[in-house]
Amino acid sequence: MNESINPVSNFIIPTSHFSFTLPSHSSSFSSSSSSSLPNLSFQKLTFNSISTLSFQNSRLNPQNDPQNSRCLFTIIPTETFINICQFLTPWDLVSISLVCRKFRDYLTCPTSSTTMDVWRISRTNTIFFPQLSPPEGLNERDYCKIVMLEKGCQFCAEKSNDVRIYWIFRVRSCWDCLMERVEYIPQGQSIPDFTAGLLFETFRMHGMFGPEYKVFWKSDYKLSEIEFSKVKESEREKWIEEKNLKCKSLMEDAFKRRKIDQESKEIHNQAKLNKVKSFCHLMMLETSHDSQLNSSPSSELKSRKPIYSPYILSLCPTFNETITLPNHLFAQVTFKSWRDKMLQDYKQIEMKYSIPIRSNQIYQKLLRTKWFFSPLQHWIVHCKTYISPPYINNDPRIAWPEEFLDRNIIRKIFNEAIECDKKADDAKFALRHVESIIFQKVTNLKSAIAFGLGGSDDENFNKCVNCNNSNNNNNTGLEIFRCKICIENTSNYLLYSYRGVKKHLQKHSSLIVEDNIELDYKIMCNYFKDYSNCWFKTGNYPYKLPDEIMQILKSHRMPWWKNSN
Amino acid sequence: MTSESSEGKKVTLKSCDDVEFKVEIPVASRSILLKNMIEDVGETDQSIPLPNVNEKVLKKVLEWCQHHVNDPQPTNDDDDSRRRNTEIDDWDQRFLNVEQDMLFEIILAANYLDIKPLLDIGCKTVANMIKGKSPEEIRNTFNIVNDFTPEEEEQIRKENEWAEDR
Repeated sequence: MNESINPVSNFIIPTSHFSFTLPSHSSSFSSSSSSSLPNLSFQKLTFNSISTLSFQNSRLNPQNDPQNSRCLFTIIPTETFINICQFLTPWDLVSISLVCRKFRDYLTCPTSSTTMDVWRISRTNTIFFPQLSPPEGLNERDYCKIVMLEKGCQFCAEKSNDVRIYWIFRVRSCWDCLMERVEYIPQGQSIPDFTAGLLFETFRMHGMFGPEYKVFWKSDYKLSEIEFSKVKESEREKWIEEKNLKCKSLMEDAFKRRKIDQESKEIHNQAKLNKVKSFCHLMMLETSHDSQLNSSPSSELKSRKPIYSPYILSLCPTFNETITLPNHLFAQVTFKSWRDKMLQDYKQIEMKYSIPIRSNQIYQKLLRTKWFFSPLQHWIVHCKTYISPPYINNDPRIAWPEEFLDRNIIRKIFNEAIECDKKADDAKFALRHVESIIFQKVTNLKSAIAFGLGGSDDENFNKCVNCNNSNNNNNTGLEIFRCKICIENTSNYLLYSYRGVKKHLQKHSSLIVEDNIELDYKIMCNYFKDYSNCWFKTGNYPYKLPDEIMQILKSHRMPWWKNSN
Repeated sequence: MTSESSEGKKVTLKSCDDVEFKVEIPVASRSILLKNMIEDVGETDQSIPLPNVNEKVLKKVLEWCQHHVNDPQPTNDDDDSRRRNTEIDDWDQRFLNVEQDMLFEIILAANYLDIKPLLDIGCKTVANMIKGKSPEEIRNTFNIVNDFTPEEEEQIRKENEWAEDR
């Protein structure tokens, strides 16, 4: 089957090539089908044997070869495997190299140029990294590992904050692991000659003002020492010079990389932002298909409307989430997957933004109804159908047809408003009765306090003393109390709440005498009327009610509409 | 085995399981292998045997060739842009929405017949199946047997500990 690589030979060879193998094969066949070989035409026999041969040899036929039916992925040719790999990110390459031996061999061979090509292509295709080729001493795979897999320390797998890339040593390491692997010489001490060709870092070891150290990679240091000792005394100067020269360029390279590393975070973020923006732009360019179909080519351009509004696109949480993704996850974002996610967001946000439009549609319709200007209009905002109208397919983006609006929504709101009004009237009526009963029963100060007209007990006294508006807070009680002393002495008819009057009495004497408090019945009666009229809106009533009546009233208040369903 | 295509417009392909397909030359020429063959041999009544492709796969591949018959021939210049673009157009995506074995057979056939664009979208499809998956997930997806020994596995785990997510 190897001949198939050359197309010409493949076409021409079969007749001769397979005729050669014919005897062995036909004999195996003859045992089962026919006792001897009849005089078949040469041509025909040849092709028969080809098909039989390839059919049996073919690994592509699982039914023929059950042992190999597990997965075709593992038997694909190397070049196809490489072809697949070129579409993967370095992170995927790491994953796939851990799948099975074969893949691992393909991807981890340090001497194979194909392996290195795979890693290089993968690295350069994952665009947002500085496109520098690996430094001397690192192959493509290790370079990818150090730069892109940006996770833990390569020695101890520690993932703490002090893990950094030390370009001088071409490692990604935490501080502790680095210290174990370096040789350091304090400032001032003489530096051996043999270190001339070695890359070094300068660290301050003990704080900002601590002594400076020259730091070498330990194994390199030792190798260099041995190498130097083998150099002849006379040639040593030359050796040092050569090494120095080589070292200089390497150091420069390392410094360049370090600088890029420092800037790279910003570069990465900018690159990510640009990529997402370009995605966004692509989405904004999409136009609706409907108009395309209906219109002639000339009007097509005009009638083409962008589907997605840039404003809503910018509101989608996915937009920002994508940018904040770590690099290795970001690399896996494709326009398609991103668009799908954005569409989900977009739909939700668009729905949310369509609700006011739909509610306006109802409102416009309501304006044209007769009863809109009747007292019923106050109840519209409390109607269930108005608050959460039945959207078509639960999608507020779809406008209601006029007919549907009339029949299903406006009419419903109307009915609900009438019902609201009825219930409110019922409740008002009930409340009036309760009030007249209370009014009859309140004969003196004591009974007024008993019915809760003086507000609740003094716990919140300090809070409420500042807000004189007792209407808003039924706890402070009604301002229906007077001070008898003031009336007698100064004809001061000021009204106080119960608490207020008690505080006032303290001015006259430190001892509060209840007899000095007068209750104004007429004003109390007026208050009551006020309350029963607007109780429905405020939900306040200044007196204590029997529990049963409270229950009834509660169920007749407007929130009932919101709470039900 | 006489073919009717006396105009020379058609060429007969024969799959490994002896099924013959009569194909228009432009369609067959999507395959560089067949194109070169046809150019070299000229008009012929003989069917071209394709010992590496069975009927099912050949049918599928020819379907693709038919659909893409008017595409420009790929050049080597846009190698890089080709690699970068992992998007697959809708028709191709539907076309490749087949069983995994079929997908790989199409890839192998495309490789054998030298149909670069088809090979590419096949590889992209496989790559998309791999993307973002853990080794175990990849094994499950492709039904690959983990053939590392426990010792090797431990060794690999240690080597890659620092690159793992958590």
